[in-house]
Amino acid sequence: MIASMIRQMWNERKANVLILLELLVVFSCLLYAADYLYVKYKEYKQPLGFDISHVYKVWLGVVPETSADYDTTAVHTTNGMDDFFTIVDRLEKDSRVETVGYTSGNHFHYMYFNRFATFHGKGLKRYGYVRDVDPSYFRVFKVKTADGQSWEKLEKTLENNGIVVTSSVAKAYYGSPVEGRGKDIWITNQGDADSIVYHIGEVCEPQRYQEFSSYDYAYYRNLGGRDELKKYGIEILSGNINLFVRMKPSADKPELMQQFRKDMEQQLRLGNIYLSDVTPMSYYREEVLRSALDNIRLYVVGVCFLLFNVLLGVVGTFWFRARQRIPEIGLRMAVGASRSVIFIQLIGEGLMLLAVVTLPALLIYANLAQLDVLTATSMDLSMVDRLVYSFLMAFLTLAMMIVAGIVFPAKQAARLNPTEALKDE
Amino acid sequence: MPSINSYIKQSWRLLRQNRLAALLSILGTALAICMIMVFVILFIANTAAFKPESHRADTYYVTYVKTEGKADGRRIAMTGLGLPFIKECFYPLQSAEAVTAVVRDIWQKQILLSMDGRNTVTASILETDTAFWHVYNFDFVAGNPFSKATFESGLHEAVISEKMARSIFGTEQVVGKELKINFQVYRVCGVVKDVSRFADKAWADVWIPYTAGTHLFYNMEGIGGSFECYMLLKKGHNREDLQQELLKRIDNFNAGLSDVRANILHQPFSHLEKWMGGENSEVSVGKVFLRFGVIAFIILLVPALNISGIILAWTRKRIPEFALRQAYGATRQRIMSQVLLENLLVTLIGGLLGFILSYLALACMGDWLMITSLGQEQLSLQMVNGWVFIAVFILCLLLNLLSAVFPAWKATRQQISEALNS
Amino acid sequence: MITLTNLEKVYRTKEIETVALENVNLTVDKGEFLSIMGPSGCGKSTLLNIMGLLDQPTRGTVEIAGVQTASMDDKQLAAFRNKTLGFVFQSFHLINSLNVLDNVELPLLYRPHVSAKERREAAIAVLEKVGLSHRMRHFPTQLSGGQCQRVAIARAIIGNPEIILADEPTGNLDSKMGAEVMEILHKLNQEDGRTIVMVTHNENQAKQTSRIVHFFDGRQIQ
Repeated sequence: MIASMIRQMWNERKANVLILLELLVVFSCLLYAADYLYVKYKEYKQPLGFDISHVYKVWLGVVPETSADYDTTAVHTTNGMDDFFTIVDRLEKDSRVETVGYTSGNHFHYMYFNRFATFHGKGLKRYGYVRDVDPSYFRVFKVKTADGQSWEKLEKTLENNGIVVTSSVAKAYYGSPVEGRGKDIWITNQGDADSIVYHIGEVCEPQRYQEFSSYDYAYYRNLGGRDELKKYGIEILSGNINLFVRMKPSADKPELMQQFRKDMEQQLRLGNIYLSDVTPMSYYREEVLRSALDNIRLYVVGVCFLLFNVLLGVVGTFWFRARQRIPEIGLRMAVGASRSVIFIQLIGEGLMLLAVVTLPALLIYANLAQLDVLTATSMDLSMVDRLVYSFLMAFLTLAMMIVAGIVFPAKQAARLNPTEALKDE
Repeated sequence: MPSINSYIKQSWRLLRQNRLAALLSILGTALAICMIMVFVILFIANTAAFKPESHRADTYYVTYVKTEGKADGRRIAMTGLGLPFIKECFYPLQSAEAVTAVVRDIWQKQILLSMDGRNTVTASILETDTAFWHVYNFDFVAGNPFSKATFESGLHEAVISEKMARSIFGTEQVVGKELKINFQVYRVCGVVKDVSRFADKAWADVWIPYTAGTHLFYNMEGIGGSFECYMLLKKGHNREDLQQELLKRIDNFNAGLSDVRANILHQPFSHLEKWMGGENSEVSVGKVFLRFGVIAFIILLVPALNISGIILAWTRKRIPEFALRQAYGATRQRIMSQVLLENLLVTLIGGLLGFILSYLALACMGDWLMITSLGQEQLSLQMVNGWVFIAVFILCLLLNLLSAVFPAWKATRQQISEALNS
Repeated sequence: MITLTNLEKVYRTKEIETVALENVNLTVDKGEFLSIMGPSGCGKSTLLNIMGLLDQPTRGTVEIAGVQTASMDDKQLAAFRNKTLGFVFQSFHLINSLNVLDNVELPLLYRPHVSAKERREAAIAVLEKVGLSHRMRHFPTQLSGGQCQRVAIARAIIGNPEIILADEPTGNLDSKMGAEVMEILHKLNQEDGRTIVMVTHNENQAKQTSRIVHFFDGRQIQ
């Protein structure tokens, strides 16, 4: 049966040239797009190394001295950081808040405010980041250790003046993440000329900035205790301290957050510090992911466009073809083809077209891979997986479209009355 | 001599007789045109000049600087520009018509407050200088930009958008009135028409002199800071001049530093490069255009193959008719142009439909399709001018040629006698 | 072999009701070569289609080879046609995009458990029988009308059916080619013992067959 179909199609090759050409172009494009989407999906799915659900950034503002609202009588104007810690404590005490944490200005997931650091040793040099955080950072962002335990160990490490490195660092220098524990490492911080030796107390899970970026080399050290920070004036609150709260899941509802914001606006007006905004971390995530997601959407739109065209093309081709072949269909029925066989045969012809272009499309795809125009990724993805998955995705969606396009004309053809069909010239 | 009119009448009848074929080709054309139009509209909105970014073609951007160790060239920092660096290297540029420095805090919106504290709104604030009003071409509804004197003495004056004026004061006629920005009192000196988010460099809700702001700090011996620098090229100079002069000035500046040096890498970037490459624009514009070309070609090719197949089946049925016309003296050329003309009708209907569809698509799916560019600001018709209409027409012609030439050629290849007998 | 009882066929459209066949009772015996004659539109083609199970009668029963066909569904009908009936048409109905060999093989394609090799061998054998084994690789458009009809006959007999239904098999052929085709049909009737029912306008050809039935306005008149 199949051999006969192939022979018939070969004999009709001239009539099939256009639809074959179209399928070839679309198949190649779909392979490319499927690979892109697969890569992006894989990147997206990799763990981030932190958890921003229910986490909000609390923006504090400082009334400038030149303002008429500046409170010169405030007790803490000289030592305003006391006010800051009062605010931290008040937030902590609120029943809707799960936990509170703060970091220096140069670490903030999704926002690229960085201080660079260079890791040395064993002839290796790795560029990464230094992140000054309060130990509570790990608690707020639920960062796990390299071996999957919760944040307590990481917090303790910073409290004991050790540093925490990310798994990427430990892996590069000691082979495996857990091996890094207890080792010493040389690091040059941005702006310093010389390197300092640090003691690695614990290794945290691999971390990256956002869903589509690669894992970073980074280390965490203690920002300094409260006494240390109280040496500074409140000016450091504008830009140099980031304050975060993790809300209890039950309190993290838009209406409740509205109320929380209102309550806090009053409670947190302390001395010359005021609450300017409480922004969900998801806002920053959206801001950063926008262009990447836009791109993905464009690909999806492109894919839909191509598939829809295939649908139109297949409907057109097979509709005309079924009409031209009405006598042939009548004859096939006369010699013993049942209606379902006619239907299946027409669908089979469509899929055969797809089978014909599969090999050339794969060749084009392989050439694209050779030319290095396929999607670049920093993820470690096997080329075989990419090929197999993108092929399956492209092939199956295309097959689905073809079948969808033929079902209508094929049903019409199968419903023909054989005597009428044989009369049709 | 059959007139064009009779051709059109006949093709209209043919369309009505072959509803499915007509529907398929019109849908295919409409979809293709719609796809390309969406791209064209986006491209125009992102790159073509429109107010206030009226000089996009001649504007160049330096938005970050790398600070390196003078001795070992090690990377120390990658930051915005510091004011001393700008004052030394950018403001004095001879090959630039105007140079402006701006600070934009993209992550935090600021609080605007009416003096009585009743009306409050969050706003994006741009801190800049007087040259900004020269580089960009704002429509003032009332008042003027802040003056040089205001800027130099760091007076608290602000230009605000209509939208802000309405939400704080309830009216646009607010020049001379006062409001609070982050608890500091500012006097409104001008009100401008709202700016589209597509003008992402000039865009803001409030513009104040940076001398009144809080971002004047700098580090790395003056290299690093929070500023970006935009330069408008002077007439008679080209990009090369600008880049050379800038590099020379930076060399001089670096010579005066003790431990570090500034490196602007491949900057300054043109507007096109900036848009295509994002923040690290090291992609070549040529390559990006090649990519666009390939995409546009595929978007046109695929439906063209479709429509070609449909026309082929359609004309095959009409071969006796063509033979008859030839028997009565029509030349092949004439038959071919008949098929092309008939198809043009289909293409034009499809094109028109596609054009309407593209606006609908942008209006309805804008949020989903391009949250960055469209979700926040409706497309203004000002950006889409006659060029877009011409582009659609040319695309229609292209699609028509792509899809109809082959069937038209086939239709006239048959021997007349054979065709008449078939 | 074929028994038609009280057969009636009425075509209905919204406005008109056309009676194509009325009270037809006809028996065709095994090994018979029956000619059906009558003017155009007398219902003879309708009758042949009903015998060929391509169309259902409005009333009455069709029994073929001892089987009542009324209760059969589409699948059973298709299988039955495939096994028991062979068709020859006035306009040949060859598939232009298949070569002679593939055209002839067609019925076996719809029969389960026939290998490609068996099909090929059977096709070659029947093509030899109709004297066309030298044209196996040609396409229908490259053959003369008589050759086309011989291919169609080869296709009709490849499945070894007991009954062959021929609808004006020589209607599109000149007299010499027509005679060739008739010769083959007679051979199939006499040598292989196949039952043949033929619709024809040609008095001479009809006279050579074992029985003639005349139709007029949907009625059998003798």
